[in-house]
Amino acid sequence: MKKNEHNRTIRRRSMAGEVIDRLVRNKTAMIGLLILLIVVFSCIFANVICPEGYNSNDLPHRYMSPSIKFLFGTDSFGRSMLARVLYGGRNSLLIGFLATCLAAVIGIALGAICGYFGGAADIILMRFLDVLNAIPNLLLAIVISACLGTGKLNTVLAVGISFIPGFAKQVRGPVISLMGSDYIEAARSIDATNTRIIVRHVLPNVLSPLIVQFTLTIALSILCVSSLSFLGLGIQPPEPEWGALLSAGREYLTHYPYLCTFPGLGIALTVFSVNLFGDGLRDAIDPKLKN
Amino acid sequence: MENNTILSIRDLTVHYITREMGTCRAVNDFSLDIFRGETVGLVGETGAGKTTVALSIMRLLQTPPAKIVSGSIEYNGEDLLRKPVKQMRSIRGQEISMIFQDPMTALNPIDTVGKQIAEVIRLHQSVSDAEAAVKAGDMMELIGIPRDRYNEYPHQFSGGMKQRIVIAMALACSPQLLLADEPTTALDVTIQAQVLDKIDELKKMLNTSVLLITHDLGVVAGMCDRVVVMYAGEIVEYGTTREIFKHALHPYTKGLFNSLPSQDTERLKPIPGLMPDPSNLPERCKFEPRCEHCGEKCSACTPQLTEIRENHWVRCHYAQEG
Amino acid sequence: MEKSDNILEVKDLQKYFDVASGELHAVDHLTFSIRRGETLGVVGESGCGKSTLGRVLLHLVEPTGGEMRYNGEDITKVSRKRLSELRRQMQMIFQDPYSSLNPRFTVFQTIAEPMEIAGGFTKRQIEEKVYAMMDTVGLDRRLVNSYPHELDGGRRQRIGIGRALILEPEFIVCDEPVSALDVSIQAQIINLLLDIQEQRKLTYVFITHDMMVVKYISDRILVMYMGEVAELAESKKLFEKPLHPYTKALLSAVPVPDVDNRQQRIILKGEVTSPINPKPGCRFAARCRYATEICTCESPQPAEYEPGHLVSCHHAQEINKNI
Repeated sequence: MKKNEHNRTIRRRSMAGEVIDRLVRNKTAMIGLLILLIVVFSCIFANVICPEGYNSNDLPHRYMSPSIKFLFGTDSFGRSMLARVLYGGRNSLLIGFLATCLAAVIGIALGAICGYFGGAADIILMRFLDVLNAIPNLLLAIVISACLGTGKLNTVLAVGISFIPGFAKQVRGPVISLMGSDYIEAARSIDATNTRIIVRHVLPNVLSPLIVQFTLTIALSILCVSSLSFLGLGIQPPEPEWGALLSAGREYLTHYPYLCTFPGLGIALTVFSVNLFGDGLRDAIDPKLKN
Repeated sequence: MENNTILSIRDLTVHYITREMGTCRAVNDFSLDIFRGETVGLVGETGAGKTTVALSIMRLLQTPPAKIVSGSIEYNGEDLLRKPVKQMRSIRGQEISMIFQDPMTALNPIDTVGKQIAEVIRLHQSVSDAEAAVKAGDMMELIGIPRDRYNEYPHQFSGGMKQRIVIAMALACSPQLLLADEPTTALDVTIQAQVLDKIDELKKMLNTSVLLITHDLGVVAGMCDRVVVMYAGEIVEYGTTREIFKHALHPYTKGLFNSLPSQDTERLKPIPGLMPDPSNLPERCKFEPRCEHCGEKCSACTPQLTEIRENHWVRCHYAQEG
Repeated sequence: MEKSDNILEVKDLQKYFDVASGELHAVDHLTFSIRRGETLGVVGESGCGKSTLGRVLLHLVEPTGGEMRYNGEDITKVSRKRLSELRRQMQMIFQDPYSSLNPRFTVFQTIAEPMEIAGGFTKRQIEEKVYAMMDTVGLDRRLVNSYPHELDGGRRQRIGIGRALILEPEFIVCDEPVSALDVSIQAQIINLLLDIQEQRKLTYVFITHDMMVVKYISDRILVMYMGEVAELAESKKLFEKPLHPYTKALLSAVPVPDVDNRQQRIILKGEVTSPINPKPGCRFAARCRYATEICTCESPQPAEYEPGHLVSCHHAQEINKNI
């Protein structure tokens, strides 16, 4: 009698491997990723591409249209718009990213605690978060920003806090439905503490949709940072930032449109590519395709 | 085809083709005749292909990823597999009905039960709404639910009652053939008894044939005239219920009986190993890797279904020797 | 401390849940004992409270009232510390092999986790024990880094069994451990459980709705109906001579794979009554053909009909006198 024990043991790659495989095959997602990487790396290497910095005045060359020498033109102080946009990109991207991280860490923790423990804590916290959620993101960010003032840290806080309810609610739902799973009960039966259960059993199993949420929130938060700066909060001159640059160039839109075009393009390309990639990521992780 | 045959399946082969798993040969050269008024039990474990066969008859397979590679299913002289979709719709529910395992999800939660039964009647018979409602009420009485519960919603009924409502819907138009896919697996034993009795009663009254898909040999013993045992997409044994239960010949069938804790045996004798991966089936006899009695012939050539005893067919080279 | 014959004693155990429409009596006034080394089968249909009972015994759900004694010690209310210690001795095997394993844990991680939580083991010791356990439960060592979704139900259930046994408990609650498995795999797992029980001298509480399995595996059987004891007897006795009307109906409803032995089914009328805010009286009365006035007023208490055979029925004597 032959033993053929492996018949049902389908040796697949790990789940992450499958996800990456599906992702890589998605052309639009890869295009999005490519554009994003181009934008990000250009900003990271701003000091290589524009060694003169973002604040080097060159008054004789004010308001010059894009040319070979000044790829994106110059602004009212003769500063290279290319430099302004690239250094500005650093701020926009970094602050957007950090704000999202802040929102994710706090939001996930809150959502997990609410979902896991339930009861009074859940009710109170969720009502509070509901109130926050009812206020449009930008408005909330404006209010917090107005209280805290301008500057990088304050902007990170303002934008970050405004996205916390979104993450909390995204986590809470899946956590609650996970609580019905037997393996949570099994973990209790082997004497796991609540912390251990949340960290090792609950969170890893709700993180998949959060990855997508995270990606898409980055796009929104970059937009939010730019909007704040556009409105006079957030990051202000001489620090460059895409939204601030838009605001500065607004008056001259008819005469020198390039002052707005390139910062605007920066925002648009980033948000667009992040969304493309995020959508692809969501499709790749989609549980319907698993088993 | 004799006048007595309702459905004639010939050499049905169905594959599931996915990127992750390759080609899963779910059903291989499956042939079966179902006669008028009989109950045929289709027995096998998970992955044997039983549900795929039923869905193929109803043309409810998702194609892709499923693909009906070859074969024919003749009903009333016409091949169902080659019928246009529109004609299949008129057959489903009226001529051939199906009930599924989980009664909780088979009913629409936002419609009253009476309305759902009446809808089936209206779809297939040209009667007025009022007449359909009356007939639906009749069906309800038939399955043991008072007619005055016509306007209640599914959530107001228990699992067993919901399944009976599903049966009422399936039999409302007196179909020739009822496909029942594990209709009582999700129900308690005492409720299962009620539901199975009902199916039996109605079947006799309407002279409906039933293809009962189940893994429970106890249910088969009580309900079925003939039994078909499936393994890895093929029929390995079939015959009258008495023949199969008294004189099981295929090693798999015998293994199934030995796995049952109903005998007063010292120790259960389970079949070692697992059903083969349908995307990687053994070449000749599909059961060979798990078989205790295999010999040279088994890996050399594929066994065919042969009539070993009267009305008893087995797919095994060594069946005669037991 | 000298160990008495009973590993677990339950007295008047209650578990009530607060639900929207009132109080759900999942387990009500349950009294029974379990002898060391035996297998007590607990049967009943959905809603009878058997799963809840299993969870109350292991403190996964806190009892509302009553008393539980483990090896003579009162464990109805325990400190967190004592509970940790008890959990090394009392474990559970879960029903659904598909949802009782963390999908992100490998086989190794799942089986090793109880040791990590308990602490005091070196990495080496954990590894050795996990591999040894995989051998015991019949898992190929090569599967050690596999994930649940790569494996079939039978193998997953073996992982669950490994997890439950790794700290060498003496008391295991098996909550429908084979119900979700195919017939041939069921048999494999049942044999495994019996082998392990013999090797390690374990006591099982075997919860199931499958009458054939429970007959095969149990020494004694407790039949539950709506949270209460309907009947408690030795396995063989229960099947030869069921006393309670519900037990009789239950046994007659079981489909027997025998073409010759066709028994008459006792069909119960009506539906299962609700365990929420139950009225006084026997909970089975509404469906029972022997019910009289007293059945609707007074709850029957479990009484010893014969030595070792308890039944909760006012009319137990009359119904069974000609058997």
